[in-house]
Amino acid sequence: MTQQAQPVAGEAATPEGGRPGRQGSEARPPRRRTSNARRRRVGTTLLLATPAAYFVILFVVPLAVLVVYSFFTYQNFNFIPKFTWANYVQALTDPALRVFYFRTLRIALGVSVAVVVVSYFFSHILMYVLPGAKRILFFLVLVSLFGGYLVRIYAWRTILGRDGALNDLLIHTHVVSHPASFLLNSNFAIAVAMLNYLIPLGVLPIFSAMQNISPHLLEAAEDLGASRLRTVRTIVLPLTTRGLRAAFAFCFIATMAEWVTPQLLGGPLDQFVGNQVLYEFGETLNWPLGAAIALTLIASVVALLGILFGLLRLVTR
Amino acid sequence: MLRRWSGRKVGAGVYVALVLIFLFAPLVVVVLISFNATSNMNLQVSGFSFRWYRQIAGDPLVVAAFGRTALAAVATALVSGVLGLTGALGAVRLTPRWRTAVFTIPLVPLAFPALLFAVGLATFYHAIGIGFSIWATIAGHVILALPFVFLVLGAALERFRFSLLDAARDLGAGSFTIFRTITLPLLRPAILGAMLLSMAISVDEFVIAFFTAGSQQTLPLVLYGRINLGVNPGLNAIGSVLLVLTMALAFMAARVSVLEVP
Amino acid sequence: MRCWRLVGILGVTALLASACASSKGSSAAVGTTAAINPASCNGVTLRFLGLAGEDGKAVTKAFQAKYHMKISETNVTDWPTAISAIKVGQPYDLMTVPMWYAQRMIAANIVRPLDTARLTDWPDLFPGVAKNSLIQGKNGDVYGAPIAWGDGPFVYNPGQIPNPPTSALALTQPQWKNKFVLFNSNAIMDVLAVEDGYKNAPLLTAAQFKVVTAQTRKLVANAQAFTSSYQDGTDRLVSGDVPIDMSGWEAMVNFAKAKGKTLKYGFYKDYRGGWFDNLGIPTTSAHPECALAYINYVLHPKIEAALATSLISGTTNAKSVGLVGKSDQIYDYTPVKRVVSPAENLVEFPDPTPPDSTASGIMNFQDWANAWQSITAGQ
Repeated sequence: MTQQAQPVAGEAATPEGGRPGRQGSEARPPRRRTSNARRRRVGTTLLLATPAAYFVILFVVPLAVLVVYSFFTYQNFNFIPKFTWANYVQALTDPALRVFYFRTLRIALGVSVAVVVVSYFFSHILMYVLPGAKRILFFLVLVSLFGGYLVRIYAWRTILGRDGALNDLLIHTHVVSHPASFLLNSNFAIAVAMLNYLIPLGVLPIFSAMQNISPHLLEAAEDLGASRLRTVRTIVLPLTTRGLRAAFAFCFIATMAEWVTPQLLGGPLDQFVGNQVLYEFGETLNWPLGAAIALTLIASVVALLGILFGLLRLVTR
Repeated sequence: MLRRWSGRKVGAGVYVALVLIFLFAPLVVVVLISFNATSNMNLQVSGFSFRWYRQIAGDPLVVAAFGRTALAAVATALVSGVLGLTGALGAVRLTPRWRTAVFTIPLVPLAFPALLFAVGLATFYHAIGIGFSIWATIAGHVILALPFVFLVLGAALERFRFSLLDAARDLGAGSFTIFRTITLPLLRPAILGAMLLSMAISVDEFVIAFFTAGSQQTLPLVLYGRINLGVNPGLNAIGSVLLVLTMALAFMAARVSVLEVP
Repeated sequence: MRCWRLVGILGVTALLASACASSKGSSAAVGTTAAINPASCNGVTLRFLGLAGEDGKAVTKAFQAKYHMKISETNVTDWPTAISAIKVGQPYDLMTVPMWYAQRMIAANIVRPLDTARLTDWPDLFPGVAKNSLIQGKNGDVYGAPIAWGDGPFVYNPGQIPNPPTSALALTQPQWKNKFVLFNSNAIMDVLAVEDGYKNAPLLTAAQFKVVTAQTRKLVANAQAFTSSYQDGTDRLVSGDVPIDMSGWEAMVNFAKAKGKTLKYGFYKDYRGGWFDNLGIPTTSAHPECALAYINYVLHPKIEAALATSLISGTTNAKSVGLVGKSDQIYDYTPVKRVVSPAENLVEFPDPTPPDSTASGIMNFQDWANAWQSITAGQ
């Protein structure tokens, strides 16, 4: 892996990568600067190597096992090590699977966009409008991730059910005359539960990215006459792109791979593609097909994200 | 300090309150149900009782599993925190194309169904002779947590002022001192947030634990495995305890964080 | 670069080898026709994989004390996870073999045959379960020892619906929209097929299958949700969200009583839909002799009665019927008392899905799996 010591983006690029204003006044031997760069390169490689090694050993290798399985042939609740493409063909062309896939995709896109928007406003408020409370509010948001997933889903049932809190509220305020049944066992319930779980995941990277954009920057821009909206659009958003992309990616991927929430809060025709993977893996004991579906799912998710982000980069250039 | 009309602040306050109410609504219900006098899993109960708390405190299997889960959560947070930080620091100086690749690849474990990953992991452990243990589980949990830590820190490092580090180095500070006194404090909220998230992932994780923990069962293994004998608010009691513990952790983390580049 | 490639190839080969190895496993029957040898359990820890309580730990304390042995249980509530654990080679000595998974587990080499000649109480077990072809291999070997059984009634909330329909087909009508739940399983197609009058269900011709799938499509569209377990179903009924659970179990009445709600059960016409759970010995077991001795002890009348009571299920030993606890007396033992031939399995403990290979013209397991997939896709 070759890389040059890049000037960090955002800094003014100088011919030798040092800070502006330093050339000339001091006699700095060129040899030291080169060895600095090399030391930095070695340091970078070492830094990357540790997590990379861990990742390879403990993820890529198990993944390889599944890849191997995905090419085996399924036969009578067993699989034999006979090479076949059939599993991938089925994963890619089965019309029922495609329905599950697009059903999941629609919800994943909707939920991800919603989370990014909500989290963005939330983070912005924490950083720039209510900075006094930002520390405790930030960690409070993360605390909401704990408590156990199963009891939380039961809690949503209590809230959204026929005799639940929300229906009680709606009836009391005369919004509806009898309990709304679409609140539970529906895409609505799935989306609400996913949003509940994903908002902290969206706030985390966006808020972290905003840490480096001092409120003084915004103040300065506004002193120069820019409206709040323009400030946000031209300064904050571009500088937090990695945070926004991370937030979107988390939500998108988490929803595409989800299976518990649709199982417990969705209707019979709301099951996700993740449920199908488990069906193949468990009910029919068709490991090769289950593995093939899972792997094509990952590939498509990563590809989609790549395309989306690529498009975004084009549009915002 | 920004001086804004109080109208904006009020609106902002309302928004924040609404979001927090939404996030905590199910948790409030979880805690309320934990005090049900009967084994009802909803709020249609008129009796109040501590029986579920007494039950979990008096169950040695649950208490032992609680301890193991806590250990696993902390270990997962630490290991993934360290690995994620080193990776993010290393990746920041790469060319844009490499950077995109390095920041996309760790997302893959998130998209992979846990059962299949667990099967692959268990097969791998079996092949190289690693047996069941809580550490085998922790190793697997780190893979699930690593993407979050890595990406969050990547986002936090996006506009990081490396010139600060250069200045310190020119003033004679060693690499580790720089790291300890400048980099780390500025990244603290991101790191702590990511570590808290790693703990959340580990605490409730069932599938990998099932395939790797063996007899050193974690809390989810003990609790969710018993569901066929009846779901009862004992689960809620445990969830409430976890919530209280995490809140304490979060308060500490908030105190310790320095926020914002000056 | 080259050495990395070599490492990669070696690694994958090793994994392939272990993958193939772990999907094999000994299928030899345990022991000879010698008597049971419980001394083989001295100091042993038997590892159990399956439903909570079915290891019998709480009712076999005398046996455990006598031979200084322990039971270490790992509980599951879903079978993909349990079966995967054995397939990757994890050693377990006892496991729950549910009736409707038994054939799949036998075909996939998950459990080994039991030498029932050595089990002292085997002749006392009800024929309806002990002679059931569902736990037998192709050559007549038995792969599981029945320990508990239940029926497949529907369960309902009499407070909301005092007179539920006893016809499953009736639930496809518009007035029952959103008023029932069921398992996410194509077993329901068997119920409809029997009600349609197809004598050989679940062995159906293409034409019969078409009728049934069309009815199932309407049924699923009418359902409020899929329940994931009997407990989930109980909680949905207790909360008042839904009045009928098509995939029920008598024990749900007891669960609901503990939650302060009265539920009742009934049967769909012509259909019993019973199930029974068995104790099996996985192919990965390190202590098959001890496991068999343990199973032998569990089947003794008093022990079986206690176990069945703890599981709120019917007991499988005829001599245990008078010994079960009060909560267990909800079961009607008539079905299991009869000698059951493979044909009669259809009525008492039906396999709700066909086998993997069927006569030509008859839909097989894969056809049913595919049909269910497209039904839940909404197609």
